[in-house]
Formats: sequence, structure tokens, C-alpha cells
Amino acid sequence: MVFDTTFDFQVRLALGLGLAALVVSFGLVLQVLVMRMRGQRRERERAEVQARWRPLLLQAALAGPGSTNLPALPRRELADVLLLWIQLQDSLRGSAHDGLNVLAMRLGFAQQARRWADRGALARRVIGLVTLGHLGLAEDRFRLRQALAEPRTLTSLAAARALLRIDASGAAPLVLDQYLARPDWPAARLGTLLRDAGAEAVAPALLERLLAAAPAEQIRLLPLLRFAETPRTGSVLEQLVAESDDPQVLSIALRQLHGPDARPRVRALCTHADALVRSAAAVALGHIGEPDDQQRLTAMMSDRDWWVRYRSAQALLALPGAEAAALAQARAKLDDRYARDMLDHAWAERALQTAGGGAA
Amino acid sequence: MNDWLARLPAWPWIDPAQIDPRWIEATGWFFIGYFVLLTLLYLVLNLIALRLIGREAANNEIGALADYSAGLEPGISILVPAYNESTTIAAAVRSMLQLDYPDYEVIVCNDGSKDDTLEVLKREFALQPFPEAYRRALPVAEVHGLWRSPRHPQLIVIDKVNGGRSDAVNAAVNAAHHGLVCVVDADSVLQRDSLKRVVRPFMEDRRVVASGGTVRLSNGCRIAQGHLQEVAVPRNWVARIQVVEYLRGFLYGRLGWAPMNALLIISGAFGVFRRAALIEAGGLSTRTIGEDMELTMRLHRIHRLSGRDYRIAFVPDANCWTEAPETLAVLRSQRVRWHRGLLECLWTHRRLALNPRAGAVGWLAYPFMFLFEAIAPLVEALGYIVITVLVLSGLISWPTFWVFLLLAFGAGLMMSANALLLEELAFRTYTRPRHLLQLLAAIVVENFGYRQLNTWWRLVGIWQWATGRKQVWGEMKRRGSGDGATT
Repeated sequence: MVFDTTFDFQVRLALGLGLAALVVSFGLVLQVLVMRMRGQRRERERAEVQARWRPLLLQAALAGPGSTNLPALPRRELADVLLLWIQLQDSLRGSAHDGLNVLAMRLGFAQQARRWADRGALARRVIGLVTLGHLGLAEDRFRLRQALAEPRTLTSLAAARALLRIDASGAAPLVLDQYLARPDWPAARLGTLLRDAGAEAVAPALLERLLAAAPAEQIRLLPLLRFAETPRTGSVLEQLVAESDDPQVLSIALRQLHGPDARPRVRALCTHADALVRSAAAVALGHIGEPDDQQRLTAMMSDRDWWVRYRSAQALLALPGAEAAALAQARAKLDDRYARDMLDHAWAERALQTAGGGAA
Repeated sequence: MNDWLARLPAWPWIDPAQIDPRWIEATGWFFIGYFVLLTLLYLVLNLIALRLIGREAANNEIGALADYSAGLEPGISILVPAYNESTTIAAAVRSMLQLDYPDYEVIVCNDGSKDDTLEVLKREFALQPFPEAYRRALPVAEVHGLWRSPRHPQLIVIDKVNGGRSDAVNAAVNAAHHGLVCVVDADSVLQRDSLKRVVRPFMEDRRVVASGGTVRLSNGCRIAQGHLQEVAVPRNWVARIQVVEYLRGFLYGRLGWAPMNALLIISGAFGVFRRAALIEAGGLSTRTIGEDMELTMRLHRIHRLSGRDYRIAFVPDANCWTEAPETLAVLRSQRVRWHRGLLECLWTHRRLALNPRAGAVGWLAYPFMFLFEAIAPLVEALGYIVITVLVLSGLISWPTFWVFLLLAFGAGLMMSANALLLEELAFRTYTRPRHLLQLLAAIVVENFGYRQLNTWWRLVGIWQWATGRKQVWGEMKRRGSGDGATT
């Protein structure tokens, strides 16, 4: 072998790398197997813990903890029991919470939850913060407010959830301010919390911020409005539609509009330069329009934008007094083929929805 | 050393004395360097994926506490291109109509099928002609008509002249009513909660223009009425090895690139796009085979080169199950096509390579894809050839030959074992211990023959790309998943 000596170093290196790769692979495979065994053992333990504690927690929730002797709660089982306790807190209503809280105090959940809320792995911190929210102790509010500003999304949202749980009206302004400052808080995630907090508690803070906010913030706040449906909500929306000139704000607000007072403004927006606003105005007219709007919507069915034509046709069919005969007559008068096609489309779609009992 | 090996004659046309040892040495360094660099880069991707998977595992630990659903999910149009799918289409559509999502529609586009795909749809869903005011935001082949069902108002069927998969998707984009569109293959099965998961990046970040889920293989799984009933590892070895390949490709091939916003492919089998971004980009290209990768790269190019802020995301726990080829002939055709597609995409978007404005896409993902995917079969084949020639001509010893093979084997094994680790850490999809052992066996077996075959097929792909062969819809014999197991 002529070049074996020249090759020596390379071959030794290749051999070393190859063997190292084999050893690492073997280690990884071993780790996978160990993880599988550990995971299965963990599942079994979790099922046992739940089987042992679920009846006790349910009894505490429904009849109070009484003076029953509770089994010892080893440290390694605490997270599972706390998760079960939170699950019951979320699913039960009324006095059941009091029973669960008394039991939690007997078991020392508050101290443990505080320790977890302050430091540690993400999962533990979230469990700790949510537990503190359910316990609702005044002394934990400062801790929760601090956690609200946590850089990690899940922990800060868990703190928001806890604060809203303890005092929804008092916490709503804090939480909404935090939301506006945090692009990492998705509207849907906060929406879940606001829905649980209740519209009456959330609406004042939300509506106040909505009117005072800049357009970019209004765009983030508007989807949350559905969780703040109060008698004042409609008038705030109308005010927003009347005062805003941002196309995105207008298009989101118009779609939620239901009050008749905004009709003149909506009609004016039907000729807005932005197609997004025109199509949202058509949607709004579908909600609040009058028979007189038929002509306006018919004209909009000849718009250059497909979506404006589509929404106008849908709105036309939704107008009060939009009877089949009258619409057929209106259709016959249409010169524009696109408008006619769109009306046929919307008409057939409505028929489908009526037949299917749902919305497409 | 075996006697027969020692007795092999040296190649007469190579005279060892005439070869400069420095060439041999340089060749050795080239292959070792390539291997080390490839392994290191994969390890980096793997570490990134591990970090994200760790977060996923933490979320799993707190279960519902990390969950949210306030009814604010954006509407989605599911687009299903269909060509000769009469055996699977009814079950596929039925399962899509039962997804756990508040606001969506299903648009099936029959792309001039030669079988009775359209008839099956009409019969199964009581379709009626619909006077759609069809808009042509994207140019497509002639549309014969649209059909809708009074029983399922959210189902739309388009019947059109054959124009290829991309054309079918574009036709469905034109008919979409929602702001997000999700492209799903007709032979794929979505998990009931997959849409909710894959849409999250759009809800969490307004800059997101596309998001992809994980494609897993349904071979061996029990599927009834278009729903996944039980996950299993396929008995067929060709499919079984592909399970490992898919885990590798999705769990760190994609998860690793996503945080750098340098994901170069959103799978055509399951990807969500912002409709406006898709239309602005011109829809799926009808001129390339790798249309899913081409679109993803085009979105990168449009946004990067115009300096716009955007994100392309990947959601590892949004699963879509699809049937993989079980015969080498079908697999060959798929792999040849995929590799040609890859080369076409890299060539089409060569402006991204090392472009100062292309960021991680141009400076990391593109060069990586070129060096370690596109030309990898050439390097691998060259390695096999050079080392065989050298050993047969007596220039290096047989032990040296085995050492280099050990190196290649060890690297392949390590990558696959890594993927299994990620899977076990976060998802544990294959719950039975037997499944795990079957996958462990597959990561060993794939190194003996399967990998080399793949290299050969990819070389064929390179050849076909270089010689410019025409593309066609890929056809695969389906077993059908209407009522029962797919295997």
C-alpha cells in the first residue's frame, strides 16, 4: 500500500471521528430508550396520583375539606396535584372554589406556589402563578404585578390571568396597558383571559384605551371588543368610526358596528379610496342599513374590487325588505355583468346557507 | 482482511508510482473536511431544534395552561388540489369537513382528472352547480365550473382543465374567501387540531406570511373515514426508513432554520399562507417541480430584497399524515423529482445567494442547501468512486476503505438518532415500545443500500435537471383509506 504512511494521520482522524459518531449515536439511542422508560413510569405515577387525589379534591370542592385526614403529599407529586387542583378550579363554579382553597391552605399550596412563582423552570412558574391567582390572597398581588412584566410570554400571561382572577376590574387597566406594551401577547391569548374575566369588568378600561390609543394600538385592541360587549360599546365604536381616518382601524371597526346612529358616516365611507374600507362599509350597511341603501349597494356591486362587489351583494340581500321579487327586479335592471354575476353568487350562497343551516 | 480481497488484481491502467501522493492527501482532506463541516452544521441546527423542542416539552407539561382559544382564530380556506384521486378523495374531504376549527372552508380543485374524481365528489357530497363570480387574481387554466353542497355549505369544488398541481392550487386561491389559505394534498390526513396549531404563528405575529406543519407518514397507521385512529410504524421497510427520514427532515431540518427566519421550504402537503402575500407573489409556479420550495424561496426573495419585515414559521406539533411510496420504483421517481425541484429552485433564486440584503437566507440557508443538499449526491458518489478506485488499484489499503465507510455510517446514524431523540423528547408519537425499536432498527438499516440508492436517484435528478426534462404530475398508486387501514 503505497500511500498508507502519508494517509496515516487522515485515517486515524477518520477512524476517530467515525468511532466518535458511533459512540454518540449509541449514547443517543440509549438516551431515547431511557427517556421512554422514564416517561412511561412518569405516566403511571401521574395516573396513580390523580386516582388518589381526584376524589379528595372533589370532596373538598363539593362538601368542604372537613376534618378528613389527608394523605401525605410528597414533593415529587406536588406538580401533578396542583395541576389537578387548577383543572378543578377552572371547571367548577361558586362555593366549590372556597372548599378547594381551604384544602390548598391546609396542604401548604400557597407557600409552594410562591416559591415556584418566583424562580425555576417555566412550567413550575406558570403553575405557581396560576395557583396564586386561584388562592386570591391580597399579599400576592405585588408578586403577581411584578411577574406581569416578565419577559417570558407564558409567565407574564399567567400573571395576567392570576391578577384578573383576583380582581378583574382592578387588574384590567394594568393588563391592557401591558398588552399594548407587549407585541408578544397574542390577542387570542389575552381574549381567553378577558372572556373569563367578564365584559362588565373589562369594558371600562378597554373602551377608554380604545378611544385614547394611536391607530396601531387601536388595531390590536379592536378584536378584543367582543369580550367587552356593554351598552357603551356601540357608542364607542360609532365614535371611533366617526373620528378615525386610518383605513385598517375603520375596516375592523366597521365590521363590528351595529348601531343605527352611524349610518350617515358609513354611507360616506362607501366611497372611501381604500377598497378595504369600502368593503367593510358594505358589511356595516348589511347590519344597519335601511331599504334606501339598496341603490347605494347596487352601485357598489360595480366596484372595481371583487371584495367590495361581494360584500355589497351580501349586504344587499341582508337589507330589511330585500324580498326575492324586488331583488329579481333589481337584478333585471343591472347593466353591469359583473354586478349581475355577483348578485347571483351571493344569492345562491345565501340559499346554500339557509339549506345547510350554517355560514360558509 | 479476507483472502479474496487480497487476491484482487490492481487496476492495470493506474500506476501507483505515477500518482502524486499530495493529490491523494488533498482528496482525503476534502472528504474529511466536508464531513466535519456537514456534521457540525447539522449539530448546530440540532441544538437550535433541541432548544425549541424543550420549550414544547415544557408546554406539554402544563397542558391546558398553555392553551388558548377565544374564538379569534382567523378564517382559513383549505385548498385541496386533486388529480385522479377517486379512491381517496371522499374520505379526505369528509375528514377535512370535521376539523376542530371555528371558521374554515374546503376548496377541492379537480385538475382535469382522467378518473371519476369529480363524479365521486358529486355523489358523496350531493354537489350542485354554483354560479360563482369567479375572480382571476391569479391566471389559471380554463375553469369549467364550480360546485357546492347544500349539506356542506363550507365545501367548494372547482372543476377545471388540467394544468398541473400548481395551477390547481392557484385556481383554488382565486376562489378562497378567507385571509389565510392552507394547501393540503388530497391523500393527506390532517389531525383534528392541526389547523388550530398551524395558524398560531399568524395569531402571535402579524408579520408572518407563511407557516408550515410537520408531515408524518400514514403507512402502517389505522385510518378510518379519513381520520387517524392509531399511529404505528409501517411493516414495509421502504416506508419505515422514510419515517426516520421525515423525522430528520422536519424535526431539525426545518425546526433548526425557522428561528433564523431562513426556512427554505413549507411543505406542499401542509402549509398555510397569507392569501394576499401568495397573490402578490404570483401564486404557485407552474413551471417548476418543487413548487412548494420555489414559493417559499420567492416569498423570501420578495420580502428580503425589498427590505420588508416578515416571518416564515414552522409548527412542529401541527401534524399532517400522508402516504409514502412503498416500492422502490415509485420512491425513485419521487426522489428524482424532488432533487430536480431543489436544483430548479436554487437556480431560479440564485440572486439570494450571498446577497447582502438576503440575511440568513442568502448567507446561511442557501449555501447550506447548495453545498450539503444539492451537490451532496455528487460528493457522496465521488467519495464512493474515489475510494473504491484507490483501494482496487492498491493505492490505499482495505482497512482505510473500511475506516471511511465507518465514518459515513457513523455520521448517518448520529443524525437519525438525534431526530429520534427530538421526537421522543417532545411528541412521543410512536407510543408502543415495539414502534421505537422498529425505528431504531430502521436508522441502522437505512445505511446499507437505501442511502446509496437515494444518492443514485438524486444523481439522476441532477442529470435530468441539467438536461432539462419536462415535468409531470407525480402519480402514486394509492391503497385508499376509506374504511380501514392503509396497509
